[in-house]
Amino acid sequence: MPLIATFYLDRRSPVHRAHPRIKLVASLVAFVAIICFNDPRYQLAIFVAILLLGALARLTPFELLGRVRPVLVIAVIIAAAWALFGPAGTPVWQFWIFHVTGTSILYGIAAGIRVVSLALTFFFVLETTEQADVLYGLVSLGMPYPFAFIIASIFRFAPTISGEGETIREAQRARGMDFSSGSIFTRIQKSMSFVIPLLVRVLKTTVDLSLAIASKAYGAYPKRTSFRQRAMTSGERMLMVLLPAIAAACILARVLGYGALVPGTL
Amino acid sequence: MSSREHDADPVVLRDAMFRYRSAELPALQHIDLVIPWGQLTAILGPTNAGKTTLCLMLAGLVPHQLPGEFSGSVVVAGEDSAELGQEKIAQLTRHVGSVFQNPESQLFGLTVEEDVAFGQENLMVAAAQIRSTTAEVLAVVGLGGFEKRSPYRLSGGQKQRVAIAAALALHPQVLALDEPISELDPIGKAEVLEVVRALKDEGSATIVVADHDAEWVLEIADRVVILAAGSIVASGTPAEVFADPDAILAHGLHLPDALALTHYLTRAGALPAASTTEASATHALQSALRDGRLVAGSPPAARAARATHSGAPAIEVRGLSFGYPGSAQVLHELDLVIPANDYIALVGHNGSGKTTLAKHFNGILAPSSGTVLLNGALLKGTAAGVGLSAAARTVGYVYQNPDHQIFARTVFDEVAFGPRNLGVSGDELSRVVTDALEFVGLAGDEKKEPFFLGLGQRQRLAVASVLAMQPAVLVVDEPDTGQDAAGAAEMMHLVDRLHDAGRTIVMITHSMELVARHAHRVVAMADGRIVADSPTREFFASAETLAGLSLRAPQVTRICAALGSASPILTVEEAIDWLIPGRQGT
Repeated sequence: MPLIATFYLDRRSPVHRAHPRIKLVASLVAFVAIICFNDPRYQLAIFVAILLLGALARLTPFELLGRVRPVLVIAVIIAAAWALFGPAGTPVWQFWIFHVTGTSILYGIAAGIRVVSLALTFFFVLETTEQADVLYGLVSLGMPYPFAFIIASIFRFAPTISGEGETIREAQRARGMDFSSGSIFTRIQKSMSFVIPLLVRVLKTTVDLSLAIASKAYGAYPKRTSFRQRAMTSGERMLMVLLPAIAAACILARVLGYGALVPGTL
Repeated sequence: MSSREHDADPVVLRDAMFRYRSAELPALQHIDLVIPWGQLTAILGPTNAGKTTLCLMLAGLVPHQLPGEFSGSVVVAGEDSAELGQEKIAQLTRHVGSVFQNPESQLFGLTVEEDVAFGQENLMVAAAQIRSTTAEVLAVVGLGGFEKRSPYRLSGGQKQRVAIAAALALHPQVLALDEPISELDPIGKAEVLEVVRALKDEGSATIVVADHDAEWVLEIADRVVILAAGSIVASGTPAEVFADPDAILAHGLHLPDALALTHYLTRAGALPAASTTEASATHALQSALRDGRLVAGSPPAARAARATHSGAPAIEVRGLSFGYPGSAQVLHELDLVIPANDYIALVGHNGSGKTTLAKHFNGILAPSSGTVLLNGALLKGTAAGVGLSAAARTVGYVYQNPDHQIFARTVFDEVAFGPRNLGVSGDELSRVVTDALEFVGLAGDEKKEPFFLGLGQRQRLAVASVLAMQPAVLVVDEPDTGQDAAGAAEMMHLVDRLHDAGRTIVMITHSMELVARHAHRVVAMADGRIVADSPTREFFASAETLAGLSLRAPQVTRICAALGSASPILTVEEAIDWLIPGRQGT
């Protein structure tokens, strides 16, 4: 079955109801905070804050962490790598080129949590905001419409192209093609029987799409309206002021030395 | 649709010519055409006649959106589109609402309302107005409440109705529909037809429909334009244009059953004139039967029974159930036996499970439970491909769209791909490839590039590439999709010859005409279950089964049923035999 390129989980929550612009700005603030601090206690606090926001959005920790499962593996690898090769200090364990210190362990833990929190923030926005609203939010924040349209088209046509790819793969397998055997070079050669028809189909879809867009008066005027007119509430307007202030406060705190396990390092 | 804004006709073409860049011949030439207010104009023609190019020209998209050479004039809403700049052209497109053939590639929004709102947003319509217009046009096409749905999740018919709504939202003067139902299943076709009929019945709509299938178009058209090789060869009312059916046939169009039947009977002296619509043909034939000009003979069942097969099973399906990983079950405990040399039509609307079932015959899919036996041996095909090559030798699968498999540089290599995968090489490989190409009529084209062949040739190439593996069973998926009457007939002639040569045929199709003309047995599916399995004539005898599957018997079957035929009449030839008994057996 072709994949459906949407992560949205429909719930009735204040987070879901919030203006998409707020959620996008809030996610940027979260990114700033995650990048600013390398103290694991700060990183843990941010991680817990995201989970609490998830609870406010009626998302279970399983739903949130389930999306980032592949990232958890990467986080463990990063944490281990920083622990083994991390900042200098008094070694608690040493072997060959490995040099483990108390600081490097803590820095590794912070780095691991940081990776998970970044992914969680990204998916949190997608799980609480419909794709169309994400794009509306991006455009309302100043992204040029053609870019937003390209992103929307990728979301829209990902399942279609995936379905085409599956049909092509089946059609070649029906002619005895075994894509799963052979050396890497043989497999690359075999993949041509899949890649070429897929490219032809993508090209055809693109031409059809361009005609369909042109037939709907695209480019008739330098600007365009949007049927999505979502006014911000007074609370949201206050948040729009508060959120950049929080980001600035994080940066200032870090400059003043707060949340820095290893000063001079992000 | 917008109200009439001025007295001038909404679209006027004068001596228009367009040649695509890289094409030798013009796609259209010497086109003089006026689309008048408030009428439904049908543009009929075979594949490559220029129908799509003409629709694009009406909307001002040719010559501006597609590169090529243009001459003449295209006046849309009083402005000559050839003389306008890109921005003005974009504004002009609102006057002609375009709906294209492929329902998949004309919806690009993430929700239905986005698609309907897109054009309005481009035209700087205010948000409140967009919302009310969107709700209004979605209600017109029967999709009120679908605003938040993803277009990807809609059926083909629903997608096409959203495309119509998106066009109507711009209040166009003309609605141009380019083969709007050719890629839909019967339910989707019925849905779109209902919308087009409703728009026409409103009385104020100006509609252009381009198609190669005259049957449904003639039921609703006020005017007909026949295109052939890029030129208009006839235009007028349906009665005027189809007064000479032989000329229509000469232009590569298929005659609707009603017209073919009444045309023959007119020439035989039994009717005063041919009829273009089902209702008028039925009425004329009823009159002729009443006053004795025609005398119905014996029912055709006795003399035209098709072979039934009871030999050794080529395919046996026992208790087969299947569900995609993580999804609900789509096939439920199916049992089916297909004897060798049978000719089966597998029918049912989209999502009924017919293609999923057929993909078990050659091991592309493996059952969740149950078994598939090929020639009595258990098929060990799995989704990972184990045993797949063995299945490919026995069951060949011709996909609906040849472009889903063509990739090689030459016709020879394309056909040799399958046998090579099965370990065939040397002289044996040359022999099977040559035999397959000869069978499909592509001998001598071995060195040609497949991508430069026409659709019909690519379709035959796809058949050859499967035949070269010498399978005993052939699954043919929607053999007539996207083809005009001549292309479909050519393809079906090929399939019939394969059956005559001893192969077992499983044809997946939505076309009841193909089923009636070719299949010996019909297996009908709904919701992942086999709901009917009977000889073809018996299948069409059950009005209840057909209605339950939202299927319609062929036009000639419906006409003869209205005339009182005791058993279903499946083809025009059978109807003529029935109505002119003396002709039987001749």
